[in-house]
Amino acid sequence: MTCAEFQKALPYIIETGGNAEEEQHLRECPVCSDLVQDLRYIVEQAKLLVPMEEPSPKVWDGIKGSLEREGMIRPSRARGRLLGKKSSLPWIGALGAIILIAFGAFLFQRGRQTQPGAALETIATPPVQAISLETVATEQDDQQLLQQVAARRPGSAPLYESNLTQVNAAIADAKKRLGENPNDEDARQSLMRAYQQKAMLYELAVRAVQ
Amino acid sequence: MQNTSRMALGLVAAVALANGAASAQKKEFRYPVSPGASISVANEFGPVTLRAGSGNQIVVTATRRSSKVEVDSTQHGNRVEVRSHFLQAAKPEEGRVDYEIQVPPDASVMVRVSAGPVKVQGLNGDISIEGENSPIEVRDSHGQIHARTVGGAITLTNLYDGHVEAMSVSGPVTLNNVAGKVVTANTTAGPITFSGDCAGEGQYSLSSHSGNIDVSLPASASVDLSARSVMGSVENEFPLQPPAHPTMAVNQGKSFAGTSNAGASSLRLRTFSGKIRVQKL
Amino acid sequence: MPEAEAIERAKKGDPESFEGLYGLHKRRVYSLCLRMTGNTAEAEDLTQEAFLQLYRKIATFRGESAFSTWLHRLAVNVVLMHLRKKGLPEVSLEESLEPQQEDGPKKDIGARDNVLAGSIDRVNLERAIESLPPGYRIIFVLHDIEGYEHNEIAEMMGCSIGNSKSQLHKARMKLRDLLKTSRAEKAVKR
Repeated sequence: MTCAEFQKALPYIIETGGNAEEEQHLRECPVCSDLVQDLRYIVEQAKLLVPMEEPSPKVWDGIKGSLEREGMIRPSRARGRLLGKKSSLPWIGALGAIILIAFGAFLFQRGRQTQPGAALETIATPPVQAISLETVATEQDDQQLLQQVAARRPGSAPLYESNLTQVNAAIADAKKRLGENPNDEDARQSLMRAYQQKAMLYELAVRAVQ
Repeated sequence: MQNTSRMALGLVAAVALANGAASAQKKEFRYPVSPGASISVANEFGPVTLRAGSGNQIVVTATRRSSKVEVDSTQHGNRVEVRSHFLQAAKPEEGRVDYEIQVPPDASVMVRVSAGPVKVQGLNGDISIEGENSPIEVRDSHGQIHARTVGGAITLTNLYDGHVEAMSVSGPVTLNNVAGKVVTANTTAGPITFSGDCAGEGQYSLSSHSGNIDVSLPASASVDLSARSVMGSVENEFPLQPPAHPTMAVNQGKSFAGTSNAGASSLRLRTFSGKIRVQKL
Repeated sequence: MPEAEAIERAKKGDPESFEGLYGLHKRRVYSLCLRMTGNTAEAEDLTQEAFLQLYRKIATFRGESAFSTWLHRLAVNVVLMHLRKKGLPEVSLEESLEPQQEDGPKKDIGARDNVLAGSIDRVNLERAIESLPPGYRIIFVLHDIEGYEHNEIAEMMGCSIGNSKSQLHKARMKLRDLLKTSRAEKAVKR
């Protein structure tokens, strides 16, 4: 059997195997053997291609708009946890962004009293939106985050779990102190930094699972 | 009789070096770049070391420990991307790739790792490093430097004239001779250690929720210092002049403030429940 | 929310379940559309269309197959219909089973080349797939990436099983050439 004859039959036998003559040619011919090895390798590698790309948020926006126009779903009402503009983001990414926004909102003079002569704080603040901090990053969100990490990065899950516990404890401490001493600027700053740490943790976790 | 001295032929004993990493494969990638180049590296397991090299090129040497991990290295204009990815499920040792990278000193660098240590030395461009448990070390550099970890230690040494930010949840943060316009270190539980003269008329802010903050200053340090622990304690062994215009109430054991020399740089130490200690170098 | 529950609630018009199903399957659908068209904007439009069709038809889903299989087939049909409208060459119905002259005598007959094994990475493979002519790309994506059998592809594309196998082989041969060229270029750069 010549190489040309073998390669003519190849499309129909590569998956199922050939007849005795074809198999013998494959054993004896290094050129055809290399060719088959290459093609099989390409097929193996193709099987490993996992869906990596994400559509942009506007795809979901388009779908939602169409469904609402067609009356297939009721127009979404504003929900406490996700802002309208951010709702098209993956929820974990949105949560990370929202925590940063909440951090900025908290900085937005909510009960803050400036002491006469107080040194100006020079902490960079993200854009401000007025939302309730209590609705941000609930325990349920933490659980979902940890589940995602556990599913995709099981080796890292204990690290994120223990650090999330520490960050949440810091938030609880600072909130309690602030509740008892509303004018304690340092306690307020501690709370803001704790939220900032939580935002960082979410961001690192999101990147890790992506 | 002529004695023929017979020279014994020296047998060169070729020592067969035991190849401990029989499956290790090294690859080198060289990319010509122009000034202002950037490189991003993403690696799950294995060390990443970046140093300043000579010439206008980026040289990436990647040593992978098994065939279960592959190195993607591509160049897009003046930007190089290097990424390790698993071809199949792999244990940490199998998925490990060791990177040694040389870049032009002004190159910008972004590194994302999970567990492997990161070392950066001698660079002047923007440096951004993120890790989970990875120890991060940056030294002898200046510029914008951002280091963030979940639990990995961050050690910054001999950084000058920079904008430095180090954040970790539980990892220790150590700053030795770090100076610049803005220097910030923040942890939730990790301890912060600082030693240096706070040069550069900058704003230095070290804060932790429950971690201790230890600061060592030379007598020549020109700082306007304030320290407060909301629920913990403070201790000062560094000579300070009381501030002319106090902006913070001084509470024995909980806070103190003062200036040293001209007070050119502002040094702000805050912890919620940790201990703050300032001493003389 | 478990998928089964999301499907039942989506049948009743619950917006959160629509979003939930989208979140679960968007990546796979989009990747399929992107690989088949090689164009981001088209892939996004087709992803949107596939999900809209899904939601319009979801009431008819009875669970005879896995939901993801059903959705996937729907997405493939959306893409193929789009490509037909564009008039892109798909599989020729009259495709000869003889080796095409353009393939020529195999260049490597009589000359051995370095095998590819171990030298392909995901990025290069994706790039090479993107570079394939549309007809080859569709077949390769459907069979080797998405796992459709030749009889299914033949039915979708309106061609014979033999034709499907022949085109797939050509796609793989073309990929082989592209990957070897890419590898050779990298070696020169070093």
